[in-house]
Amino acid sequence: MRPILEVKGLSKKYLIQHSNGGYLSLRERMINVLKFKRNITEDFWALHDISFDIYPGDSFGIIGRNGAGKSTLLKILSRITRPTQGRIRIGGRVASLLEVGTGFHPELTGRENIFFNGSLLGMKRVEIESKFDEIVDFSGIEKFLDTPLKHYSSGMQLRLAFSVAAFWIPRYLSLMKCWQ
Amino acid sequence: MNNRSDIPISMQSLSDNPEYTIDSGSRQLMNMGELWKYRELFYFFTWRDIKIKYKQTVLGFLWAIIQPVLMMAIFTLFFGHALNVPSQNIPYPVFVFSGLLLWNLYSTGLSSSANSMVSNSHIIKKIYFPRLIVPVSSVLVALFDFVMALCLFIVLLIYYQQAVDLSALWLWPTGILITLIATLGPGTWIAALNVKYRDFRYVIPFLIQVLFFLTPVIYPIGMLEHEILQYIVAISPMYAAIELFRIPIVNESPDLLLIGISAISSILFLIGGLFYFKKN
Repeated sequence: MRPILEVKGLSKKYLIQHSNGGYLSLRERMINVLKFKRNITEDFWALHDISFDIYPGDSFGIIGRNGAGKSTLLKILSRITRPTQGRIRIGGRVASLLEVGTGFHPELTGRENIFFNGSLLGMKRVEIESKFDEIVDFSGIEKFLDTPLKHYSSGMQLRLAFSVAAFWIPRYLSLMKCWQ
Repeated sequence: MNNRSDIPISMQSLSDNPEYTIDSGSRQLMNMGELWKYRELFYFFTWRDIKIKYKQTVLGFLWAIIQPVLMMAIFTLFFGHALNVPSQNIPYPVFVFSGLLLWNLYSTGLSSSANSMVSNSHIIKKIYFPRLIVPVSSVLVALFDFVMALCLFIVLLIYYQQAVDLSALWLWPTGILITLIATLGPGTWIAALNVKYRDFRYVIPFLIQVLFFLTPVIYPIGMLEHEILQYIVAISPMYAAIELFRIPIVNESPDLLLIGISAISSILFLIGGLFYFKKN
C-alpha cells in the first residue's frame, strides 16, 4: 500500500537575529549595506533530516519537549512555511488544525462566522449549507445564531469553533495540535 | 496503528484529491489553477470585509457616497470657485467628481491591500490558502464602494445635463480596469514589504497624499506648462485611468503617448508587485 504521507529528509532552518532586538528595520538594513556589514544572524535548525511514512488509517502522534519542532513540522505539513530541504508527498487534502476558530470575527454573527470559517478551512459553500443544520445542532447555539460573536461567552465561542471543525475533519487526512 | 477500520473512507478521499508535493523550491509566479480552486474564498473574504466595514454604523453603505460628495463640495468651493482652476469645458463639480471617483478606488484599495497581510496575519499564520486572495479581495471591497459612488456620478451627470459620448461604454471599463491594475501592483508589493518592515505602514498615507497632487485629479494636465513635467506626471499609473474615464465627457482627444506611458507603468508595477509578493 502506498503511504498517504511521505516525508523525506525534511529540514527547516531559521535565522536568529542577534542585533537590534530581533527586528530587522529598514533603516538598520540600509545602514548595514552602506557599511558593507553583513547582518549578524545565527543558523538554527528547527528540524533536521526527518523522514517518516504514514499509511491510510494510521494514527500518528508526535511527542516532544518545548522547542523540539512539533509545531514547525505541522506548519510545514499544512503549507504555512516552506521547508529548507527535503520533500513531502501528500496523497489527499490535508486538514490542518493549528487552532480552532481561526478567522472568527467578533463583529460577525454566529451564522456569518460559520460560513467564513468553513470556507477558510476549504469547504465549498454548498458543503457548508448542507451541513449547516448539523453544525448548529452540535454547537447548541441556535438561539444566538444572529447575535454578533462578541456577545458570546467564551464557552459558546469555543463550542461553535469546535462544531465547524468537527464536521469538516473526518473526510480527509487530518493533523491536529493538541495541548493540555 | 490499530485504527485501520476507516481505510475505505480514506481511500475514497484519496481518489477525490490529487496528490501534491511540498518542497523548498518556489513555484511559478501565479498558480492560476489553485486560485481558481479557491475562488469561493475571494467572495467570502470580500463579503466579510464589506460586512465588517459597515457594522455598527448608522448610515451604513451611505458612507461610500457621503465621502466623495463632501470632497467634491470642498474642491469645487476652493479650486473651482476661489482659484478658478480650468476644467476642460465641463462644470467643475463633474470634472472633479470624475477624477475623485477613480482616485478613491485607488487610494482606499491601495491602503487597505497594503495593510491586508498584516491585519490578517492571525489567519495567514494558521491556515494555508493562496496568499494573493488577501490583498486582491481588499481591492474588491474598494470596488464595491466605487460602484456605489458611480451611481451617484450618473445622477450628477443627469443633474448637470452633461452629454456623455457613447465611447464611455468601452472607455469607462478600461479606465476602471487600469485603476484595478494600478492598485493591485503597488498594493501587493507594499503588502509584502509591510510584513517585513512595518515602516511601510507610515509610508502609505504619505505616498497617497503625494500621488494625489502629482495626478491630474483636481486639475487638468494641460495646466502643467512644461512638457517634461507632463511626462513625469504620466508615469503615475492613475493618469491613464482618469484621463480615459474623462474622454467621453470632455470630448477632447487626449495625448495618446502620455496615456501609453501611464498604462505601461501600471502594468510594470503589477508584474513587479506580483513577483515580490510571491518571493516573500
